[in-house]
Amino acid sequence: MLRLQSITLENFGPYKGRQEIVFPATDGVVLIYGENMRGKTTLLNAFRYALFGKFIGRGQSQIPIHKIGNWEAGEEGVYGFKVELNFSFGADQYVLTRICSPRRTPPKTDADYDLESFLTKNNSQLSGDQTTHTLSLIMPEDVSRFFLFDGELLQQYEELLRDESSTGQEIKQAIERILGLPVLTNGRLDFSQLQRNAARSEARAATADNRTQLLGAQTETLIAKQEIHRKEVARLIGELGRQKQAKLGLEEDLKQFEKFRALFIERDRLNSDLQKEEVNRTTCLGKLMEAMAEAWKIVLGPHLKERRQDLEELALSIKLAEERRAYAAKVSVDLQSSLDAGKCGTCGHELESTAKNAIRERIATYSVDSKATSRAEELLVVEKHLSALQELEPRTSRDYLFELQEQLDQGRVHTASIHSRISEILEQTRNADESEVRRLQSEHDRVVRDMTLVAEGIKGEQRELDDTTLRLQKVQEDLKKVAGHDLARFRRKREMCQKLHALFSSAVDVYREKLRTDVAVDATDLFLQLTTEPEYRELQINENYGLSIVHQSGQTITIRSAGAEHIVALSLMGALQKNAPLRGPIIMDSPFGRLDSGHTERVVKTLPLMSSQAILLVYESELEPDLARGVLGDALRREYKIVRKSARHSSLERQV
Amino acid sequence: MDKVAIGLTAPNDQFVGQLMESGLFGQEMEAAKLAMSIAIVKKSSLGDVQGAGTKWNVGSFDRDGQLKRLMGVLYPTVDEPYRVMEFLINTGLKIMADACRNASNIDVRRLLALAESARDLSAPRA
Repeated sequence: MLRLQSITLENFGPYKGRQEIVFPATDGVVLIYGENMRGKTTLLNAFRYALFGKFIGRGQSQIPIHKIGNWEAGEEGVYGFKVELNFSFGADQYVLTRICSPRRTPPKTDADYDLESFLTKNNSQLSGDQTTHTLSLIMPEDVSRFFLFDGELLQQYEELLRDESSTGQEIKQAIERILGLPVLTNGRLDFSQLQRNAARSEARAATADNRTQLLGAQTETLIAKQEIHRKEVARLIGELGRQKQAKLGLEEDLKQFEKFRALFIERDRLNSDLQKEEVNRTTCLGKLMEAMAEAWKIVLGPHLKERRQDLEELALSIKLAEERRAYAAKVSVDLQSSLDAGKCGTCGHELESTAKNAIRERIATYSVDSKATSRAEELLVVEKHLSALQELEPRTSRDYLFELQEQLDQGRVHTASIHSRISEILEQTRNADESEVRRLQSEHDRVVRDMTLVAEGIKGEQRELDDTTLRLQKVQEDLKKVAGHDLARFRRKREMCQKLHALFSSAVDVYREKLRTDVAVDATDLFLQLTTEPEYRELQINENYGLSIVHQSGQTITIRSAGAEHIVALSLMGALQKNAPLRGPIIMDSPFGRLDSGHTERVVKTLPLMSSQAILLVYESELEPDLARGVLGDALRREYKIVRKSARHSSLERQV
Repeated sequence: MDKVAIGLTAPNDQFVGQLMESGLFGQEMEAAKLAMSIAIVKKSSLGDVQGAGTKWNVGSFDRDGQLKRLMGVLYPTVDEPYRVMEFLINTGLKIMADACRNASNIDVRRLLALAESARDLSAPRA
């Protein structure tokens, strides 16, 4: 196990001159306090630089070495820096030194520096290759994320819950590496290769023998064919992997433009809406124009209605008067005939004088009406007028005109709001490079299409490979039947490699499943100690080692706060430390920034369980020294404080 | 002697142009007929138009004699229907122009509302 003993810095970042931290030999926690901008992250990077020769800034970007040296020292003419790490690994003592010295003064760029690194093992200096090899055994860089981390790195563990995430895939591979899975996967790969070699040897031997020459040739052909398909599958899988990476990269790039992309999509939709609105407006205006040809009749409508009623009444009264006149004339004629004949025109009785007098009175009465002037001509005129009014009935209505106007008005308002929104979008996207967004989107679409084709290609090649393998097995079976003793040796070797390959394959699956189970159990143990929420029951692990919080109701918590993310990530870290063959110190930079005091206290309390050597870089309000002392008790082995000397000069001072 | 052509005063002719720009009318004659209707329902007193140029031949304006018959119904004592029609058109256009003078746009509601107003206007714009 790796145990840090001391680190010495010379003009590294704000640490001017020579400064040292000495770690106690016993298990426990070391606290290094420092306020913002004093150099906590630089100190974390000092460990990283010592081990891997890298300084990582925000956003996981690497900082140029030219910017690492102390500025004040530089102003005094002292350039470059040095980091020395003393540690033990097993029973061996190591000193790792990295020196960055100027090639010319004043140095301007990274090219103006010479970089040197030395590793001594038990006071004997190792060669360059030995140094690289030893360091890769003690602390491989690709698993460093589990030993050196900050809040930003912890936040990345959420990516494990997303299948498509490239960061998640990277972390998953790192997790499997620290858990030792490559031992088995490499073994599987080796036996696969050995099996193929053995099959080739067997085929060559069979070809050389007259009895099995034909089958041997067939076997060789099939092995060659199998190899072609295998290589093609591997090539296509590699291609698919590259395409996936390219797709994820493009998606990452597109994310930067996500807001603009949404705005461009909205703008295009709005422009399409504008076109539709224009079509609607033209249609509506056409209808309105057609209907407005009748508007004058609509306006006249009520006025003419009154006029028509007057005319209709007049026509009726004329008709009645005409009927009355005709009737009176007829009755007068009939009565005069009766009077002239002296007999009743109806029953034929003789008329007496009283009856004749009555008839004469009646005739006098009717003669008034019967002599009235005919109004037939007047009626004709009235009817002509009525007919003229009848023609003026509008073919449409006022309501229809209003409805069309309403539609036009609404369209106008909608169009104005669309124009307004488009203007807003144009303003918001003024500085956006639309052609770049379109290029990225088009590239992304192309990659997705290509991925589908490659995936189809893999399926096809895999089918061919399976088919060839089956045919090869059949030929190998036939060969077994006719082959003599000479070939048995090759066959046994092939069959043994085949079995060992199968064994390692199943071992990978079993071990991976065991690891996932163990990690889930240990992460849950740790999580339940860390969380202050009593209703959380466990952590559930997925294929990528992503951990989900499960509530006591059995439901998974889908939305997690940044604080919860940290707690889950720390639980995973602790579980990995516990299950990994490779162990070492954990060095955390400001890990409590997002945690409340309850969770902070619990994390501090469990630190000794997570690693035998824990080094915390914190600011005092993040972790009160008294609280830390109270919670950790004897497990708190040492305290340092980063003290400000000037804005560009910090000093490491031991407190306890 | 009745008129053989219907004319508009210059301001009214200009206003007809505005009405056409509003996009509500397919032909100027339709706008003129609406103006005539508005003047009729306003019961405008009849008179003479001063300064009207020639705009439409009556044969084109009243192709089937429908308007002439309408004049006969509404103004039975009048023996020069097209002269009356010209007067009513110019009167109606002036009413419309006055109502639209300060309006931001000319629309159906505004024009038809004129027919519902009880105001009487007597003479067309010269």
